[in-house]
Amino acid sequence: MAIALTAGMRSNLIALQSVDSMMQTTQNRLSTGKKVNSALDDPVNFFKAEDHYNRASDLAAKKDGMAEAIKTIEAGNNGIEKIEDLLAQMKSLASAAKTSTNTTDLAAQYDRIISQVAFMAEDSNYGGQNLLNGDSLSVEFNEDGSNTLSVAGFSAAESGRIAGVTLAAANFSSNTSIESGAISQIDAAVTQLRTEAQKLSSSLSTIQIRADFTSEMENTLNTGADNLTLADMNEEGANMLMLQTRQNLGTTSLSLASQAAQAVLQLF
Amino acid sequence: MGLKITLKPGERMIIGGAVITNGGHKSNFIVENKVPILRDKDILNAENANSPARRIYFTIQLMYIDNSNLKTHHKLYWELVKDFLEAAPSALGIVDQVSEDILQANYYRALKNCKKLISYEEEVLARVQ
Repeated sequence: MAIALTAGMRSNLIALQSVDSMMQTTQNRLSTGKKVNSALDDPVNFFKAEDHYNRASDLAAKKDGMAEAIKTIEAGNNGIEKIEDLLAQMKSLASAAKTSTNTTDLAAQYDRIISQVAFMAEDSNYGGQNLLNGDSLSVEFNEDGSNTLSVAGFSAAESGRIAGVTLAAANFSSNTSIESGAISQIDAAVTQLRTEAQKLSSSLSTIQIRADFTSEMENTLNTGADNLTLADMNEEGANMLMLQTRQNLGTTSLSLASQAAQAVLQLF
Repeated sequence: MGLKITLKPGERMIIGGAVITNGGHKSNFIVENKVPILRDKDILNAENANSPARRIYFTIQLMYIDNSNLKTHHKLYWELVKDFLEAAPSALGIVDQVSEDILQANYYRALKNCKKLISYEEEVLARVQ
């Protein structure tokens, strides 16, 4: 005997069936944590999300290159600092020689430090590159390498010259020879080293800013791709309206922007 | 090479940090070196930056004309972008395009793409208004 379902019972049945199927889906999603598990669920968002994940890993690779460059520059900067320390020692030896009777000894120490400087420069390499040995660095900021930054190395210590300034062997025979020789040479070398250090610092800061930005891009893409599958058109409209209201009412961080820039934009 | 500019009478623009107002006649000139350039129609002032996407546009403007404070502007950019994407995850594609332009220091292109973001935001808002 066939059982006839009333309209009411039929709609209950359909409701139950759909709840059952929703429960299955929900359990599936709960176990993987993602609303879209395969291309079958929501093909458009699935492939969009995949795209974003792939881009995030491309960016991660770029960021690694920048991190390496940063370490190389830091090695160079450390080397420069150590060389400056050695030069400071040499300067005090030379100053002491002006009033000392044992200039031979002091001169010998002075000459020994000059060779230490050479070692220090050689030791400032990272990953086979040494900015203190004339090597240069090229950092890529995009996929095809059309946007790069070159960091030029220099010769920090080479055949008796520190950063291009000649540093002669100690001549402590008279105060004049000390002043016009050792001391003036050391001062010139320090000035030159500081100029080079300044250039390296500037490159370092540029690369650091871009590396940080790339990090944020990577995070945003990964989080964004996760959330992409939660996108609901109507919800988005409501969310955006709330955000706009919240931003307009709140004390905005736009005013944190620098004064000069604001002054220009206020003219419009 | 350089960038060829034509200004209508009385039109204003920003060239490398200077705000210039054109005189009574149309003028043509070439900006020969690379400096930030913003035409009147592309400039958004703080008062009119009154929607999430426009705030992002404003921040990119700051990056363009105030290059020495990039770190500050970047920080603001990411704050605004995170809020934006939390509200509308579907905008990720456009946002990423803008971010890529900023990474390559193509601020002018970033601004153009940000205009798309502003249109998109209008579409999104239109659904509830």
